Amino acid sequence: MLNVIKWRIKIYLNNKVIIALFLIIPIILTLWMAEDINKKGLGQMIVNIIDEDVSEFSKDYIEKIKRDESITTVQIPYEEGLQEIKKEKISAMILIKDGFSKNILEGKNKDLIELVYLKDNYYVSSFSDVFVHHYFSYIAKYRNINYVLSNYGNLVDEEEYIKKYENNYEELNNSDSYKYEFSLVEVDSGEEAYQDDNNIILYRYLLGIIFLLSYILILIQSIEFQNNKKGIVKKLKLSGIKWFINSTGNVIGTVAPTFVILSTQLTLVNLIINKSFSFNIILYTLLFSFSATLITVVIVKIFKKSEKLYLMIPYYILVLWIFGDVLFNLEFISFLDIERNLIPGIGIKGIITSFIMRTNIDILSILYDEIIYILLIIIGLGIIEYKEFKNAAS
Amino acid sequence: MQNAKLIVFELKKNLFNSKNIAVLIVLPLLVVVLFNFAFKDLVDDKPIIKIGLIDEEDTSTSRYLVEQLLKDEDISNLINIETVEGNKEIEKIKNKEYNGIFKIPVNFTSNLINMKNTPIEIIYNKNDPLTSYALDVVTDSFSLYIEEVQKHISSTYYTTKELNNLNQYTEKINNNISLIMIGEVFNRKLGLLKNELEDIPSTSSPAYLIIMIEILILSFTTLFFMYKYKEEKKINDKLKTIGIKSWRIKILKTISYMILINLQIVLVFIPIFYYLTKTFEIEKIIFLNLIVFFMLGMWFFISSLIKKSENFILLGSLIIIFSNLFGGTLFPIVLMTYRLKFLSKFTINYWFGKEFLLLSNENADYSILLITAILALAFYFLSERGDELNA
Repeated sequence: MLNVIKWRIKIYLNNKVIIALFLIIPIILTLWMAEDINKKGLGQMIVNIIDEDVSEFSKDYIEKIKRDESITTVQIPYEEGLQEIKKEKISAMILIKDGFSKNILEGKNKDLIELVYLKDNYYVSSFSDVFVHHYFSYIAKYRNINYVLSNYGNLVDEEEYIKKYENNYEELNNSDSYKYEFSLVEVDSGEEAYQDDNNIILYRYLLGIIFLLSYILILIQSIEFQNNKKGIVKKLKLSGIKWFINSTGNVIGTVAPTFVILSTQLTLVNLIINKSFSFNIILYTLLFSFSATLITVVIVKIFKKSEKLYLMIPYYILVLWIFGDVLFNLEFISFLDIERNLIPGIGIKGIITSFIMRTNIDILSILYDEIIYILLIIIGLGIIEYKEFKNAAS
Repeated sequence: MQNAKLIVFELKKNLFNSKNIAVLIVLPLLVVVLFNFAFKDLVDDKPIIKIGLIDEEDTSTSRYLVEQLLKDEDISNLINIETVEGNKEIEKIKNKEYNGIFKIPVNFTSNLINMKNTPIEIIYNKNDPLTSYALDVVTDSFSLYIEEVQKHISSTYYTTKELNNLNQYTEKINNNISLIMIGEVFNRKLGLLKNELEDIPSTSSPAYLIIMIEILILSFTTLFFMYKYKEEKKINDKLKTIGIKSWRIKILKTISYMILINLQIVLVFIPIFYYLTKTFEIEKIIFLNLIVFFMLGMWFFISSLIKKSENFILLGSLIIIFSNLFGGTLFPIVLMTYRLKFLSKFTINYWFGKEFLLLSNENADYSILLITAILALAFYFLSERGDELNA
């Protein structure tokens, strides 16, 4: 069997360009995305600001927006800004209305700014609060001051009160004691969840690409093997090697390099983005390499012709991406009760979850979950291999 | 006459082949339906997340807070909040009854008034990326407001404490100010006048989603036809022996393939696009034809450089994979960071999707159209040179 494994690994590593391509691309992509993944929030908004008020308040407000890392500001005329929004060169436009400062001082909170954006741009719509937050402090301040002065003004000196209030606020603002955080509880264990995944969607996207490429690499290598082994089965049969030894050797010979490549990639990727993972995840990666290899070998054996298999790749990635739940949960398939790992791609879902959660993984329960899927494929593969061996002999 | 006969022959050959019909109509239909389901949350007008709210404090102030929270327009666009009974919260999330549960703890508002931080508890499934993303947005935003409110309530508290004449009223002022501040947080959006530009699709619209899927389908269909073209090398060589030039074969094949692909556009793409957007104009079909022309040219060129059809298909498939991974099909452009967007600009999907939107907005960028046409012609010309070198 050792010779079969060696021979299989040799064929696997034969196409060095493809191996290098699939090994390096995720690393380069990680280096490219590392800063974004470690940063809070997703993409930035480019916003055009038009100041109609031109006051100290409005200038201060603009400065606050400029300091916000999630916003990049430009200053162009209204009409030009409108065209740029339509072309999606900028995300939105903020008009600081005339009377902005006067209204705030009087404690009025209506129609202070105008936000112009495309109606179906849910990104701007969801983040519109960020523009309010930067002027909310003024409103809160003057609502407080006005309340006290209008109700108890006869008891205090107005200037003294405002001065003391401002000093107190400044002092509190400089202290960290008012930091507010929600208490997050994740459902599986009921324990406190990790809160260091600043950009969970980008991290999932990156992991999705890595696992997807590993599936494709296994597919390409299995096709290459299929092309190279013509006539070999007959020779193996004649040399007295049993069919199951040959099959097992082939699977191990594919799983081993896939696992090494995947583990190397994941270790490097997580080192680059400063994330840690437990030893159990390595075991899960091995399990993933194994189940991905099994399904791919069966697919290659069924379709046989390499051109047809290569043509399949775009649709294959769609199935993996969608059924692997890389970005979105497919609730519409839940009625089929195929939540478990019975179809390709679901393996991706499991392993991504393990990386995101980074809690201790119960590898035995995962193995139990996947065992039906793995057994079914092993039986299918066994039948195909046995027939192939038998036909070669006859 | 001969040209027409060759085109009709090509059309008949493809139309009466079940495999070709599957690639042309059935597979695209499946992909569009599947994608529509997978991405429906992102393009739906309804709130995408259902959150249960448990008020463990149950005082007049907390009830006021809940009432205001349920009315908050910004949250209700993204999240649908319902008050629920406070038991079996985790079960409710596991059963997908709710995406998450907010729990207002006992003494939350009284502690807020007394300037103590009692965190609101959020129970959710972190593995559900869309929920966790939306909740992150909401909690981040609310944390900032709570911090700001606390600072201002405290400023008032300390100021009134410091002033002898107001000292005795501190508690009363503090209570009233707290209620005013809660109201102010929920009325904060009164200051923001939203001017939404309607009828202009963006990269987060259903129109964009469907065009990106169509570009993916067109990439695959054109690659499939080019594979067939390579497979028919012997027939094409015979045609050359009877005096039909290589470029003429390519043009005839292009016309036949474009007619067949238009069948797909009419039967699959237009009905679904119309169903989602209630619009469709002829210039969009013309643009889709330009995309097909470009893609066929690109595949002709690449196939002229690679002799083995197997290697050509592999390279073609890899081009399609990377274009879709980075070009905005499998990961929406609107969720991309600047760096990712920069990367997506190296894909044809990005530019075609963008131009399709610009066409919808009647803001067509003619330079993109011109470059596409020039590149397509250049590919055809270069493919001829490639074939000559191969020969």
